[in-house]
Amino acid sequence: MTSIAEQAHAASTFIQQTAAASEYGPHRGLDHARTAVRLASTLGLSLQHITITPDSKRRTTPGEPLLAIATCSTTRTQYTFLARYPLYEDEPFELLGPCPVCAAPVPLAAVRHLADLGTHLATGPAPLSNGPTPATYPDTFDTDEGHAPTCRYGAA
Amino acid sequence: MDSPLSNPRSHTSPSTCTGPGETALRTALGNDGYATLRRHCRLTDTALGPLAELLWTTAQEADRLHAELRYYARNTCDHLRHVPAHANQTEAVPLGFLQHTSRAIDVNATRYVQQMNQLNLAIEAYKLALLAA
Ligand SMILES: [Zn+2]
Repeated sequence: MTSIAEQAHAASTFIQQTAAASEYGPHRGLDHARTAVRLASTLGLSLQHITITPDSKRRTTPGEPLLAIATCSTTRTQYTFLARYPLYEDEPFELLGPCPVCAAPVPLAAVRHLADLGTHLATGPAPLSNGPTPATYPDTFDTDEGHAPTCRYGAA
Repeated sequence: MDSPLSNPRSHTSPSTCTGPGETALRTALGNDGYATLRRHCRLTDTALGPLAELLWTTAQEADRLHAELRYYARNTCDHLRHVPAHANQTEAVPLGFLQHTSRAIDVNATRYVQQMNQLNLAIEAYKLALLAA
């Protein structure tokens, strides 16, 4: 078992090396690396199971949203997390999954730690009616740019 | 549709370097005065407390806006200088992103200038209150 100090050192080295070598440039690379470390810490995963790509669909102020894909080493299941404001590391990740109405990938749960993911996986997305969106959905669900144009949710 | 700029976010500044807001406070008050300001922020029984608190949050907001401007500058540099090898034509010239960013920078820069003006006014008001206290 690696010591806490060794793991911490490895994370810090990963960020420096990834930023320096990133094909997206050193600054965007730094955001990508920090986001990978943050998701790995959030889920207790190894960094090698996480890939980061820019999200070309969503526009945020400030910043450039990132998609962090975590692949389960046991089942190969992939989980896609949106980091909407990479500059602000105190924001939760948003787990993306099929919209119950349009099936496009949209935020279904805010994930601050492993238990948030566990709760979502146990219960699944709450059914949607014509009333207000159930509180289990993140605030961003209603207006997310990921909804299909025909969906009753999505950017106005 | 998204305009968190008109709806300030209560984030801690991600930047570790000293921002212009904090620098303005230290320049105007000196290091001792700066420490005193932090103490005054916790006062609830005099008018000095809320004034100190206002000054402090005004400086923090200036630093946050400044950190965002730096972020945009760096991010945009990378977009213009580094094109990933596998990028297709639309990604190679991310016009939509750059247009969005340039609008955001305009709004952000305007807000930043306003905030620094506001900070100077708050510093003067706090100094006057110190004299009267
Ligand atoms: Zn939808």
